[in-house]
Amino acid sequence: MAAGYTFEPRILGFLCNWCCYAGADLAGVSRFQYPPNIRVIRVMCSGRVDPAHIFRAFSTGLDAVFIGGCHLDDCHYVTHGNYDALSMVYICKKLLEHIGLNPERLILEWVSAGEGIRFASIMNEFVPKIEKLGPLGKDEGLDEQGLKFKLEAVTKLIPYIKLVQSERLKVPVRTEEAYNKFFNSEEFNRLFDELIADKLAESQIMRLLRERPHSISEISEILGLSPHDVSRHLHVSARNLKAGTKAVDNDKIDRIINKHKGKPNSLVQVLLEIQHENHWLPQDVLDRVSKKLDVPISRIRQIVTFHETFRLNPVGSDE
Amino acid sequence: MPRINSAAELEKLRKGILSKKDPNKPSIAICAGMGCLVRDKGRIIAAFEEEIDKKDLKTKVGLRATGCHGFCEKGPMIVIYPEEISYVEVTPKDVPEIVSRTVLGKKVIDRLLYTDPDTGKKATHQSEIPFYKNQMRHLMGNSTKIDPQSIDDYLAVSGYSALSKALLEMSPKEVLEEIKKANLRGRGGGGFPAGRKWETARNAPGKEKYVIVNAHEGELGAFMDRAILSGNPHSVLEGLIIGAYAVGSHQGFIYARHDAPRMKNNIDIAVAKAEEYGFLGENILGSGFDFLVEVHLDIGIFVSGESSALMRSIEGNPPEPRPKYIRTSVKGIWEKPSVLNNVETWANVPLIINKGSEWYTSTGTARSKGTKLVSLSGNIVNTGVAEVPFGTTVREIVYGIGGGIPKGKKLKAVHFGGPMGGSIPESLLDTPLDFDELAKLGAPIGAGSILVLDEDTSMVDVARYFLDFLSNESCGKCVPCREGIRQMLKILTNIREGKGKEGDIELLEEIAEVTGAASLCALGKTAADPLLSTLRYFRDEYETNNESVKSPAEKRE
Repeated sequence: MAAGYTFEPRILGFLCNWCCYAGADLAGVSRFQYPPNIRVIRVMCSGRVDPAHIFRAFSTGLDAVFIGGCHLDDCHYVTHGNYDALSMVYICKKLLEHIGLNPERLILEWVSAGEGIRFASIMNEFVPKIEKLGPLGKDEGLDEQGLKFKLEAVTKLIPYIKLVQSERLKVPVRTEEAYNKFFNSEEFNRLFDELIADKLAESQIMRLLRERPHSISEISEILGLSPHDVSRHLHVSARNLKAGTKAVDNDKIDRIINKHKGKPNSLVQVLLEIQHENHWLPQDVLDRVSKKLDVPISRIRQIVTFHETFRLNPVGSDE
Repeated sequence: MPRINSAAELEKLRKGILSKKDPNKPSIAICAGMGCLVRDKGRIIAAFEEEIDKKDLKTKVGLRATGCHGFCEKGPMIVIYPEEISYVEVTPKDVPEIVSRTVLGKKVIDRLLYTDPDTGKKATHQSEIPFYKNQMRHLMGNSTKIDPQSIDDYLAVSGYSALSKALLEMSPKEVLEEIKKANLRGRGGGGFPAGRKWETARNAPGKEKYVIVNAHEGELGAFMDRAILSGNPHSVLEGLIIGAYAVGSHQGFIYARHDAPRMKNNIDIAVAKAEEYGFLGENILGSGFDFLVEVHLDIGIFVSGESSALMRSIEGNPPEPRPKYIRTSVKGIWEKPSVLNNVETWANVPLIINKGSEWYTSTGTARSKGTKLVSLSGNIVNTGVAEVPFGTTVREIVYGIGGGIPKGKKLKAVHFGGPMGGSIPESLLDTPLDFDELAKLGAPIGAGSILVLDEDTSMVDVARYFLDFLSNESCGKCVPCREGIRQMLKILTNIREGKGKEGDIELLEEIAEVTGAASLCALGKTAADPLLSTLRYFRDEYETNNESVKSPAEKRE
């Protein structure tokens, strides 16, 4: 490294229009001094910041992300978006930690429009900290390739993670205490491992295998997972893959339906013939039959669950 | 093949087929009924084909896989024409010898003939075998002469002549009267007069009417409908068309089992051929009568053989019965008048039209006319399908045709009608086969399955077995059936395990009564019949079972 080079961290800031952005503005107008490393994006609410934004920032090589919102319970919207920001940041920190990045590279602070001085002092603390941490991945000992791979894996999972956030990681009471308590609890760790960490491992394994064939020991070395976990994930994803694949294509279904002239009362015959071809009836096949024969899916389900002859799972599966 | 448009054309075609058939040409009829086919997995048919190919006899020797010959016990069976030599228990190894010695050399191979176990006498022809000797084979008689996939074979045995007679020489009313005079009763179990059912549907308001063949045959131990429908599907189809003409229906359904692929295949071919020849479609035989048939498959549940459930199934709904304050012959499929008859009933129709009701009523008893197909199974020497005139005593069927009980054991009971029938004890064996006589004894004839039970059988087990079957098959729509069967099964299981309590038998009788009175359909109404009939004749077995853990059967062991 050339002598005299000093590391200047690049930090992305998402600032709420109503509080933190105005606070930063005030800091500037009041001529408070703070390091100029932050690039600001104004958002209408800290709740608007999506995990995708954060991981995109890291993917493009930024060293840290700062999110500034209104104080809790001071949100300008009835939806209290800053609570959403809070839970999102907790999850993202956990994700960063999981892929081996220092979670301190992401911070969330509450700054009101009148707190110009507070904004400046936060920056005065945050920037030297990141400077100390060094460029993204360096301090953590991740090479560029490995970092890129892991960030991509997370980015791909974001829609799923958001779903999990709203379905399973929801805190019932909107108070700071409740949020802190939940996200620091064992329960959250367990849910995270169960719902997100496993999925992430599976998605990474699948990405690796898509590049070229790997042995289980190779995979476990690259991803730092135990071989036992790798084979468990492989087993699960193989099953999901099988369950999701439709063996009879739509053409075949249409041909069978046309043979019966598309009469709704031929439903049972159509289902029997499809099962004869495919050995079982996947949900998307039922959907297609429902659409084509103009029979409500509720009735199809009534019939396929009434008769033991119809199989709703692949033959030999244990469900 | 151009469509046939008149009776004259039909006769001309028939003459053409007959003239092409050389009565002296050797031909081999191989039984491809369920029993024989399963036993040798079709290897004999393949072996014959290969042998005939090898010897280059394709033009000189006819080969046909026919429907069930009936004598399943001794299968696989073959019959060699024109001498009508009958061989039993043939194996593929025998095939070259049969072709060279019997078909070409006209010599009989002794070891393949049927040997009477009692007298040791050999039988060269089917008619000499005691199993066949005591039968009256009106419906099954042609089974060795017909390849079920060939409509020409059926035409050669004067097939579709009844159709042309009914459509061209009789009015629908006359057809109906003839059936009523013949007193044809439904063979599916109820014994309801078919003529009256047809008349109700005919007089019911509305233009659209349906006729249906019930080929569901879910009864345990019943396999005769399968034998007719896969062996001679055109006879059923002909009966159906005649029935439709009498009722005024233009759409028919055949409701068959999904688990008998050969039968389905034969039905499909028969319907396609009948359409091609003009026995189905528009303006049948130039009479102006239109009729179409659709084949539907059931999905392996017992209750879908029940008439209203079956109709729901044809509509594309789950087969759940409905209360029948209004008969299905008035409101059936899509609330339209629908005539549902069993396979055997339909197969009788062409016979009645061809030979007249007088001929038909000359066989049978006062109130049950004609013949009845029965399937013999259980502890009996000759398992198989037999056709006997009504009025034959049960003893004759079991000992004369069935050959008695194997291993010299004593007979304990004869069970009729599967899980919804009843048993009669040895002392009542001289009862004639008759709808009403047997119903009076609490053992309705049902579809005609006869299960023979020897002295080692526990009757409590028999009742328990049937209830166990029904508890799985109940559709669950009405409570008396769903819960009643379960509770009866529970008590019976307790009795069987020696955990019975004082008053259990009375409780059973009470539940049976309520289930019978309150259930929606025949499944629930008759679910307790085997239980009640065994209680009636074998009550001591329940009582001793209640006293000690072991049943008489286990004690003996």
